[in-house]
This record gives sequence, C-alpha cells and structure tokens, in this order.
Amino acid sequence: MAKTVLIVDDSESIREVVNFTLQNEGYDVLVGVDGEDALQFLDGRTLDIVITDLHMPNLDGLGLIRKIREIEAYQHIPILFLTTESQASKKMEAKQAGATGWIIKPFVPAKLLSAISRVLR
Amino acid sequence: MIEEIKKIFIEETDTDLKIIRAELVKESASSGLSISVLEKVFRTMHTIKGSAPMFGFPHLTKIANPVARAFEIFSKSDNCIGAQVIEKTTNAIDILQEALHSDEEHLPGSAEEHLMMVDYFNDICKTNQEADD
Repeated sequence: MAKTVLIVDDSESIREVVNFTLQNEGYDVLVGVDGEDALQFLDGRTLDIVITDLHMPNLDGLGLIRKIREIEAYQHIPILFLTTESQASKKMEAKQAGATGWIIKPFVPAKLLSAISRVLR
Repeated sequence: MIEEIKKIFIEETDTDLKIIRAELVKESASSGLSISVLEKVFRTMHTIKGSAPMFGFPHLTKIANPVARAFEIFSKSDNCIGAQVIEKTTNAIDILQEALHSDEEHLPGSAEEHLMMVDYFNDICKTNQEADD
C-alpha cells in the first residue's frame, strides 16, 4: 500500500518538484500551501510522514510541528524540515518542537527520497 | 515537467519580487516599514536562496543571501529602516528580476556593483552582530 506524504511549503515551485519526485516513486501526496492550510489534513487520516518548510506565512513550520505533536494520532509521525535554514539554533529549536530530521535546500531529489526512506524504515 | 516547474519558479519569484518592491516603496513613503513587510522581504529572499539553484539560477543567491540575512535582523529589531536601505533593496530586487528573465548565467550589471551591494548588506549583519555581542 502506498505511503502518504503531507508536503507543506509556501513556494509553488518547491511543492511541484517535491510532489513530482514523490509521485514518481509511488507515494500518495497531500499538499499544504502553509502551516495553516496543512491543518485540514490532520483529521485522523493516515499520514506516514510530513515534510515541511520552516519559514511560511500564517503558521510557520515550527508552529505546525507543535500542532501536529498535540494530536495523539500524529505524535510519532516522522516530520522532516525541508528548508534553506542552516543555523544550529534553529535546528535545535526544531528538534525540541518534535522534528525528526532536516533537509537543506537546495536539494537533489535523490537526497530527499533517501531521507524519506530512512525515516520510514 | 522540470521545464514547466522552472516556468512556475520564474513566475512566482517575479510576482513575489514585484509585491515586495511595491510594498517597500509604498510603506517607506508613509510611516516606515511594518514588521509584515520586513518579514515578507526576508521570506522572499530566503526562498530565492534555497530554490534558485534548483531551477538554473544559482547566481541569484549571491544577492538574495545577504539581503535575506539583513531583513531577518530587521524583522526582529526595533531599528528604523532608512531610505538608503530601501533604495539598496529595491536595486537588489531590480537586479534579481532582470536576472530571472535573462538566459545569462550571471547577474546583470558589473561585478563591482554586485560586490558593493553584497558588502553593504553584509556590513548591516556584522554591525548588528557586534551590537548583540
């Protein structure tokens, strides 16, 4: 059965690249345009992994992760940040909020797929 | 498919740059820049920094990176943003927009001009870092 990925990014081109990459690998993909928009998918449905940007309007990546971890069904779901941000302090903050991992933009699709496979194992 | 996504990148980046340029000019004429505009400029430049290399525009990061860092600082501080910062930022936006619509694999204008621009924004970051220390 295909794994379901929720991707959240305010950049349309990034959403398209990630969506294209994941669908080609057989993942089912749900898409949020920012943290606020992504909340609609946290309705108890099966999600296998969340991939989110950090800096977004309305609700940013950190805020989204905190919301996700408040929901029992998603307390242990892997959450990867896909972001340009590389500051150690931000990574620490993300980890404390409940992030599983971090992928730096710009990224190559193979690296994204490899990171996803690792956390889904 | 990747070419189609590249077109999306060019369009959305161009639109975002137009928006922040208009807001910078509009707000600077009134009571100064709001946090919302500062954050928007930061996010736009930050996005360009991470996305541009993926779509064949790595040279955009040369300017987007220091501008993003400076506006991250501005959005978190109480400092008033002067007319010179606004002028330099709109110049940076103009260069980025021109580069987006060019087939050249380098920024328009002279290397000296780019260096001065990068130094200007890097100095802002350095000054704020020293003030924090």
